[in-house]
Order: sequence, then C-alpha cells, then structure tokens
Amino acid sequence: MTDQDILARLWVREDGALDAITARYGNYLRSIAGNILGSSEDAEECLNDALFKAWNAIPPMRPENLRTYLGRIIRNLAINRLQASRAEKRGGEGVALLRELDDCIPGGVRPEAALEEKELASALNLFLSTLPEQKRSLFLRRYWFGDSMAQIAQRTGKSQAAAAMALSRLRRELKDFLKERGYER
Amino acid sequence: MNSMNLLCALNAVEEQYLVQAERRPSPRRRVRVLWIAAAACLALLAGCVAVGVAAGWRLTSVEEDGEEKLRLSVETDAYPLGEEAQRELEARLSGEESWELPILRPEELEELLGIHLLTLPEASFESWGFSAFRDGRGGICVGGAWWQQPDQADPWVANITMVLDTEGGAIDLLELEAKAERFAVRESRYIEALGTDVEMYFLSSDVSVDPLSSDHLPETMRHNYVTCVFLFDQTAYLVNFSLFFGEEITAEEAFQTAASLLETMR
Repeated sequence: MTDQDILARLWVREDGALDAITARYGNYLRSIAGNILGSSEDAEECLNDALFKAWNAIPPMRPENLRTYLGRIIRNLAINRLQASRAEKRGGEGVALLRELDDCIPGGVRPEAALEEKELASALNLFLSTLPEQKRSLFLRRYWFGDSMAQIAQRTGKSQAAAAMALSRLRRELKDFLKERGYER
Repeated sequence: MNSMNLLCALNAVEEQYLVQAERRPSPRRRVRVLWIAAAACLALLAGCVAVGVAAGWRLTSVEEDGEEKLRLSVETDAYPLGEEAQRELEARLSGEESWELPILRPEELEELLGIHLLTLPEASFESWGFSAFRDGRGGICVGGAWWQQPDQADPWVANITMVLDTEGGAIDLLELEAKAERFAVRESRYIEALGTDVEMYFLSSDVSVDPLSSDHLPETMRHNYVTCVFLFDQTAYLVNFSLFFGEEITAEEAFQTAASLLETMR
C-alpha cells in the first residue's frame, strides 16, 4: 500500500488506515522512539500516541512525505517522554544524545542571548546546509534518528571509532557555529 | 539553551535532509571505492618496486630453519640514525628531556635525527599515483614507500603518503580512514615487525601546503605531517605520516588518525 493509499484512507476515516500505517512504518517508528527512550514498551506507547495524533491531524493535513511526517511526530513524543523520564534516570540512547549535544552549547552566561526554539531550529538548518551530505546524514542519524554508534558503523561501513571521531568534530563545528550567533548555555 | 532544546529544535530539520539521511550508502559507490582501492594497491606495489629498485632494494632468497624464504633488503647504509640524534632520542624516550618539541618541518626532523624521511619524487608520484586514477570526476592516490635496513636492529623508516581528491575537493575523515584501512591491510606485512608491544610517542607534526599537491589539489588542501616514534624490542622506529585533508586539522587530531592507522596495521 502506498503513502497515497494510506492518506486517502485517513481522509475518508476508513477503519484500518492506522493498521496500514503500522504495517508500513511500524518498525521505522518504533526504532526512532526506541533509540531515544531505550525501552520497547515506551516505544510501543509512543507509536500508539503517534498514530492517534496522525489520525487527528489528517485531515486536514496532507503531508507530502508521510514517512518523515510520522517520524517527526513520534520523535517529538519520545523526546517529551524522555524529558519526563530524565528525572527518574531513565532513557536509552537519548540520554547519551543529550550528553553529547551538551558539547555543542557554548559556555558563559548571557541570558539575553536565549533564543526561541524556532530560531534555534533555523540556525540548525543553516548549520546543516553548510555540511556535505555525508556529514549531515551522519549527524542526523545520530541526533535525529538516535542511532547508536554500532548502528551508524554498520550503516556506513566505518569503524565505531571513526564515526565517533567524525561526530566529535561535527559537535565542535556546531558549537563554534552557535557561538558565533550568540547562543549561550 | 540546553541540550534538550537542541534535540527538540532538530525536529524541525528540513525534509530533504531527513530523506538523504535515510538513504543507504550506495552499493555502486562502495564497489567503486573497492575498485579504486584495489587499483591503488596495484599501483602502490608497482611504485614500491620502482622506488625500491631505484633505491637499491634487493629481493634475495635465504634459508632459515631449513625453509627457503625471500628477504627484502637494501644494499645501502645511507640512513643510519646518527649517534648524536640517537642520544637525543634516547634522552627523550627515557624522560630526561621534555617531549615538548617545537613544531618541526620534515627537513628539520631529518637534521635532528640524522636520517632521511623518504618522500616520493614528483615524477613517480604523478606517474603511478594521482594521474593514474584521475578520471575527470576526481580520484584517489594512495602512495607510499618503505625500506628496511638489512640488520633489523637498525631503525626502519617509513613514509606513508595518502592523497585523496573527491569531486568537491573536500576530504572526509571517514573516507580517508576507510581507504587507509584497505591500504593498511595490503601493506601490513611491511609493518608487522612492529609487533604488538609497541610504545608510541608523538614526535612532531606540521601543517602546510604540500608542494606536490599544489598543481592538482584545491588551494585549501593542507598537508599534515605527523611523525611518531615507536619503541619495540629496545629499538626505536620512526614513522612519518603525511596525511592530506581538505581542511586544517590540529596536531592532536592528526596524531590520533596516525595512531588509528598504526593500530590497524598492527
């Protein structure tokens, strides 16, 4: 079943549309949530929540790319759940992602430099646009999809050490990039 | 701002970047890299033979423990570690002198250590390296040469030169390492005498525009020299890596890359 078929079924509120999504994208969505949360039970709950959100949003939404649209929904849900679970010291790869991304935040106290998340997102997109595709994809596999180093190594055919080194360099580049634009911790 | 803000803000990343990130590395590209690596190994072998013959290398048959073996030897004593340099090196290795050396250029290293760091003449570099694989879309050159003193108690000197030129002129560390790994596998037998109990010391590094590459590579290309000393079986081995990157890297990064390469060779 194609994305267009699934969207058509959602638009006419047809029973089984969510089953079709699960069949087509269930594993993909579970892996995003699972990578961030480190728990298959939590990932499954996120999947159910994501399906519910998609059901409520479509229509009127008609996403051009259903896969990434659903991916964004479940990633948001997983991050929200991660925030809640951090206090309980839980969370899978997400905790490692947060620790690593902490490297990208320039030090110093400049409360006036605090920017809205939307502006930060624009800055991140600008930063990503400066990277060659391979580096950009590496960064996103780690920090968007939450892939572990082992998964990244398998995917790229590189050693884990090489992937870690490249990511370390990218974090440093991002830190410098954000610092130049006045972002502070 | 905290790391959670960053993680959240990434959710708004542009669609096309996510689609790109979901693509698997192209098998065709991998096959192409493998072909290039194989071709580079063949060229390297030919280059080593050419350079070796010119430098007086001889392949001789010797009998050891009743078995006939081939031994590569160099009929020259042109590269012994000078006595003064040997003392200086020993003093540094024993901790009597600081390792905080000034940044040295290769020629200064040669003077300090009393040896020659073998580099490839431009003519041979051109003939069996870069031009052999340049196909209009960029190519790869992996070159290098080694020699060994007839008496293994003497130092080995190695120069490993890798040049990669991609379509955009930029070199990616991952690409470099992947190619270097294949390169190292082929050549590991030259380095195997380093054994497993090797102490590694960082001697120096330098970053400069490489004169050999200036005609062919982008202006941003920088030549990173990393020279390391290895101690094995009470013998000092000196290895000079010449790494080409698309951008300047720090001495520490260059050293880590060199260490990683050596680890692969071991």
